[in-house]
Amino acid sequence: MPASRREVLGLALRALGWLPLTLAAWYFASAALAWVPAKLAAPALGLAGVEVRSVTLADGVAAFGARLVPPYRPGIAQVESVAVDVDVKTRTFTFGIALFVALTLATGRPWRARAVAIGAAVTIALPAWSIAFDALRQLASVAALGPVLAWPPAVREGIAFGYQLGSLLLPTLAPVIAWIALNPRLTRGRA
Amino acid sequence: MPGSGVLAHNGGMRWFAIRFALVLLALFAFELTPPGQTLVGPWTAFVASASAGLVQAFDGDAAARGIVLYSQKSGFAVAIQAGCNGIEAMLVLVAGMLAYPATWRQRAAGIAIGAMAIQALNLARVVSLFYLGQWNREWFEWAHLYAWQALIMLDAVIVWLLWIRHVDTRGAAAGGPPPAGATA
Repeated sequence: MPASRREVLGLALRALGWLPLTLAAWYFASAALAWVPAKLAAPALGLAGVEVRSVTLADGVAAFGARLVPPYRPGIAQVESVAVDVDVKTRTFTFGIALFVALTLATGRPWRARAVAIGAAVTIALPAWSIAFDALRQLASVAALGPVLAWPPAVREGIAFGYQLGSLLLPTLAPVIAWIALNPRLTRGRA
Repeated sequence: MPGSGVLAHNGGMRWFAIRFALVLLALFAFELTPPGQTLVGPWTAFVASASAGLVQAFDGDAAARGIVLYSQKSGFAVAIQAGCNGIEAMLVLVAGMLAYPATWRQRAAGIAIGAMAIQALNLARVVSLFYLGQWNREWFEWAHLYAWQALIMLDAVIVWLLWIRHVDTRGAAAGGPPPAGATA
C-alpha cells in the first residue's frame, strides 16, 4: 500500500514545520550554494555561442563576463565579436534545496545518506539550467545583439521555452521529484 | 521502481516518469502558446477578481482591474503574473494524475478536487501577499519568490499522494489493478 492518509497528512504538517527553518538556512547559505549551478551554467552557455570568460558571485547574483562570437556565414560580412556582462539573480532558482531538505526531514528516519546526498546534489546542480536560460533570455532580449548572436527564430523560441521551464517549473518541481524518487514507499501501489 | 504495486504492474516508476514528463511538457508547452494564453489570461484575471472579493469581505479596501489587485487606500498594487496564478502547480498535478494508473473517473475527480485545493491555497497566497506587500516589501519579496512557491508545490504533491492512496485503496477493494485502457 502507498503511504496512508494519516501518514501523508502527518508528513505534510512536519514539512510545513521544517520549511521555514530550511528556507532560512538556505537563505543564509544561498550565496555559497549558487556557486555550483553558476559554474555549471558557464559551459551550457558556451553551447549557445556565448563564451563565458568569468563568473563572479556576489549577494546571490551571478555575473557572467562573456564574449559573443558571431558564427561564420559564407557570403555575409563578418560581425565583430562583442564583450557582454550578464547578471542573473540565482536565489529565485536555488531555493528548491530548502523544499527538498524539508520534505526529507519530514519523511523521517531511516535516512539513506547516499540517496539524500544524490537528491541534494541534483537540487543544487539543476538550477544551472534556469541560470543559463535566464542569461540567454537576457541576451536574446537585447535587439542590438541580434546580428552578433544570429539566433534563428527556432532557437529564440527554444530559449523562451527553456527559460519558462527553468523559472516556473524546475525550481519547485525538481526537489519534489527527487524526494519522491528517493522515497518509493510513498508511491508504492497495491501488491 | 523495483518491487510490487500498481506502478510495477504497469511498467514501473520508469514508465510513470516518462508519461509524467511527456504529459507535463505537452501541457506546459500548450500553456505558453497563443491558444493557451487565451485561457490563462482570463483565468488570471478571475484570480485577481476573486482575491479582491475575498479582501473586500474583510475590509472593503481592495479592487481588481484585469490581473492587477490594488488597494484603494494605499495605492499598493500587485499584478498576478505567470507562476502566481496556480496554473503551473495544477499542470503538475494533472500530469501526475494522468500518468498514474487509474480510471478516467478517478482522474477526473482527482483533478477537480486537486485544482480546487491548489486554487484555494493560491487565493490565500495572493491575499497574504497583498497585505504583506503593504506592510514590508522585503518580507513580501521573500514570501512571494520563495516561501509561497514551495508551499503551492507542496500542496500539489500532498494532494497527489492522497489521491494515489485513494486510487490504490479503491483498486485493492475491487480486487485487482485498474484496466490497461485506463492508463495514460
